[in-house]
Amino acid sequence: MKEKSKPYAALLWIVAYLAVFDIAINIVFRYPKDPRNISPSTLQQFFEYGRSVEGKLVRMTRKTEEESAPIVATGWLRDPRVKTFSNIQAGANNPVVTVYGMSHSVQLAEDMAKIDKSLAVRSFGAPGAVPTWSYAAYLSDRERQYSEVVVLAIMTRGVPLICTTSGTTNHFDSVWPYTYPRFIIDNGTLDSVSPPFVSLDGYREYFYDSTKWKTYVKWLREYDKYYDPILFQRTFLDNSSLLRMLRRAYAYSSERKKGAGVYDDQKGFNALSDEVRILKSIMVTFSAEARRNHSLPIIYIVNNVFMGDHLYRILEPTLSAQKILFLSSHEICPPNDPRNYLPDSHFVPSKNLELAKAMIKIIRENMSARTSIDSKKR
Amino acid sequence: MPFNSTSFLIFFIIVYAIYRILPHRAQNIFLLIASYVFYGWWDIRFLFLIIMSTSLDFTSGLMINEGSIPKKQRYAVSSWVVLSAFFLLVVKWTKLSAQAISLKPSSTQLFSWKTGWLIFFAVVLITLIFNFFYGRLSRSEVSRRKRFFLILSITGNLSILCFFKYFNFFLENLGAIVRDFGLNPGSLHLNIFLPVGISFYTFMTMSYTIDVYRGKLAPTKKFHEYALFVAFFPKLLAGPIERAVNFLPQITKKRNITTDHVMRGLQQILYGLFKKIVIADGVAKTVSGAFAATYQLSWADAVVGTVLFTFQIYCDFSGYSDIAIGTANLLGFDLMRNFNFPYFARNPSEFWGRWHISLSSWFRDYVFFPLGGPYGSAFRWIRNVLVTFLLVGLWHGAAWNYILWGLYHGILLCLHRIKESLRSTRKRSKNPIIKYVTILGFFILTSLGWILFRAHSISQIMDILRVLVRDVGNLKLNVEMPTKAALLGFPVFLIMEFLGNYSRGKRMDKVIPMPIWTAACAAMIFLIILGLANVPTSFIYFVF
Repeated sequence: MKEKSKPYAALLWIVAYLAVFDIAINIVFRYPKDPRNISPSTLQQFFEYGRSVEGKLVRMTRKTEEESAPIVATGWLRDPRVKTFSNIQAGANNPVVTVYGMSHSVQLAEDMAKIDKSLAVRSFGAPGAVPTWSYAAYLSDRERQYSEVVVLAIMTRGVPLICTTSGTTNHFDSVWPYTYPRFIIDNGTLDSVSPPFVSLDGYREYFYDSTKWKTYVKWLREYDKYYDPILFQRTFLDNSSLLRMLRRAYAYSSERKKGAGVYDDQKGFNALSDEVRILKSIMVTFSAEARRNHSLPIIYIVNNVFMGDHLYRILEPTLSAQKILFLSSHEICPPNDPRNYLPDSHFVPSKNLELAKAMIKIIRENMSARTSIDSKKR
Repeated sequence: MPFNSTSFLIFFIIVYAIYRILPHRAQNIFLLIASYVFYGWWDIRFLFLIIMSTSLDFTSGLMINEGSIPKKQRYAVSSWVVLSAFFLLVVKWTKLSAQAISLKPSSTQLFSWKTGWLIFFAVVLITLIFNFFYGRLSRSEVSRRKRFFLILSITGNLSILCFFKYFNFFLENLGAIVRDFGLNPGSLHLNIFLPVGISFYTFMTMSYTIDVYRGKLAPTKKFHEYALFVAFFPKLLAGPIERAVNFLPQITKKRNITTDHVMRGLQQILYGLFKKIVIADGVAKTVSGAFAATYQLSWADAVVGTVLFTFQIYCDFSGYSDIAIGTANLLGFDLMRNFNFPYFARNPSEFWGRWHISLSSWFRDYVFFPLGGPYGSAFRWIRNVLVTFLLVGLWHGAAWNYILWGLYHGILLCLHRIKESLRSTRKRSKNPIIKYVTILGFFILTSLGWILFRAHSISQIMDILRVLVRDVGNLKLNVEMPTKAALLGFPVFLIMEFLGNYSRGKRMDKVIPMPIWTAACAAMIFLIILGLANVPTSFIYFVF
């Protein structure tokens, strides 16, 4: 072969090999077509991560709930799937405790119910819920059910995502269609803008109507900080496994850039960022509203593995100043010790139990203090 | 602007497109400007140090060899230094938005605006004094003049390096000694920011003056050519520590970029990116998890952390060198080889002929041999080795762990030499089992050395070594697993290293049929795409 034509021949070979790899991955690690199949292999999931958000929604959504992926039905603020872990009736000696938040908070509620049978424990959760979702869940749930104790769970990883509005933008690898309002601070007060739909039926209505879906995408573009058309919109590029991987790399890089002004591994949270200011405002407003509603508000701070106690450190001054009760996981599960965490980043069962005990202790101590104050008043 | 960033990709595409259409002389000037932009992207004010160092050694080189500097060049250098002192130190760069992103004003206290004016006036004064005494200096006795300019160059370069790199180390240790005597000196620490690449370009410029002094090299009379030798962007931040003897002729001669250059360059860049993005960045979290753990590590944690760091530092640094060499190839330059599959070494002597070759050969030529080299009594030889390796350790950073690491390798080398002298025959065993056991044995010794290098403190070194000895068999792994890209990439990496070592570093396309080596290239591209999702880490050797 002539020396000059060698690079071109090599280039052709490389392109051909890449095409073969691409096709081979699509065949060997083909993602299950049935959305009800919730256990694809690790590599099937891995090569699927880079699919566009709309591509993933198409894959998981069907006309009926029975045909759709189970995850589609979770996290909706209207039409909620509240879990009740106790069989007892709520009463004077059996206060209702509702925990709002992500999977960590669901596990906490489950263990609380196991430990203290006299508590009527409920959990309203969404996968990967960010603090704004938890607060919105509290606002929608309080109309339906009065709770003596309301627990709002906040996770370190969720804080940079406070300016998102949906499970489709806050977690690219595996998306969830549920939505929640965008909170903003307007003239020092917490305000919100609601998305066009907050229920499963609403989602289906929009998803299967292209005109309505466009209006939703337009809304996302306006209000969701993490909306990105390259990640969101479904294109023919979804068919190539290599391009899906490239999109995933872009998603990670863009997420890092967006979160850079909010959180830093070494320095922790930026107190001046919009996200931290909104979070503090949410906590203060939540506790004021809960107290007005005669509920006992508690903040559950979940410090993620390898993220130190940064979340506790940024929130503690506000919580103490406002006399808001809280439980921070770092005291029981030091975040820099991975032995406290499962590979999926949840707490190990023994630590979950300890956290549940600590939460019950806070509830019991403060409920009895309230009861004695009430009886004195009487 | 790290090599594994989009900004570098855009920068290089623009530079390359313009470079290819320019004539030779303009190419050199353009490359010099591009190199200054490349360095200034990080922090423009520290460009002044490069220009200072360049001017000092260019002047010293000519004064040593010729005793004179052409008038045009002398004025050019003088005005260049003064102007750069003004524009780089006096102008408030933090006010400009593009620079405000990269500048870290809190860390550069000594380069504040007022200090900038002070340095500017000092530079003006020194330049005037030099020009005033120039006639007398060039007429002075030859050997005195040569020695004077050699000492001036070495002390000037080492002063800058020591101030930025070792001043706090010296102050802190002085403070500790004073405290031992019951005195309280307060906080002895200056807020100095280490300029990236300073150890690399300082050693390059020093070798130039020493070589000119030794008569091994005729100094260049063109300032821009010498400035390009110092600042050439592919090697500026982390080497290879190129020698002027090898590099200056490539600048002066017209370069012919052949297909071979392009093929070689692209292959080298691809392998470098693969090592950095897929392996080094892919294991970074696991390694930092093990070395930053606040809990008691298990034996498995300590082993995995240590072994993966052994690969991380190699892939990170040799990856950088590969990209640097490949980028230079594309521009028609040949940089010296910096790594030669070091983990296939069977003894410390072989290891240092394969690891960071440009640094080890620098220390060999400018420290070890001037001290007496391997000649003389055993005591002298051991002393020379230990002093050289102590300095090798210190070159890496102002901390005791680097000094310990250097001494560790020095001791290994001495022990090896003693072992060799006791052996009756110098023939190596050809039994492949013995060969691989020896390679594995030395790999373990090298890995143990990396614990000294990576640990944050002496107590951490002791903790890890204690776990490795006392907790043998505890296989509970707590640290985070490497990324999928790294796990998939490891077999490809090992195959590439084996092939490279056994083909004695020959290029893949020269020893393997095209359908096979292109498959390897495609596999690496595929893995790089997977690895792009890894959290990018900055090159480890940038801090040296």
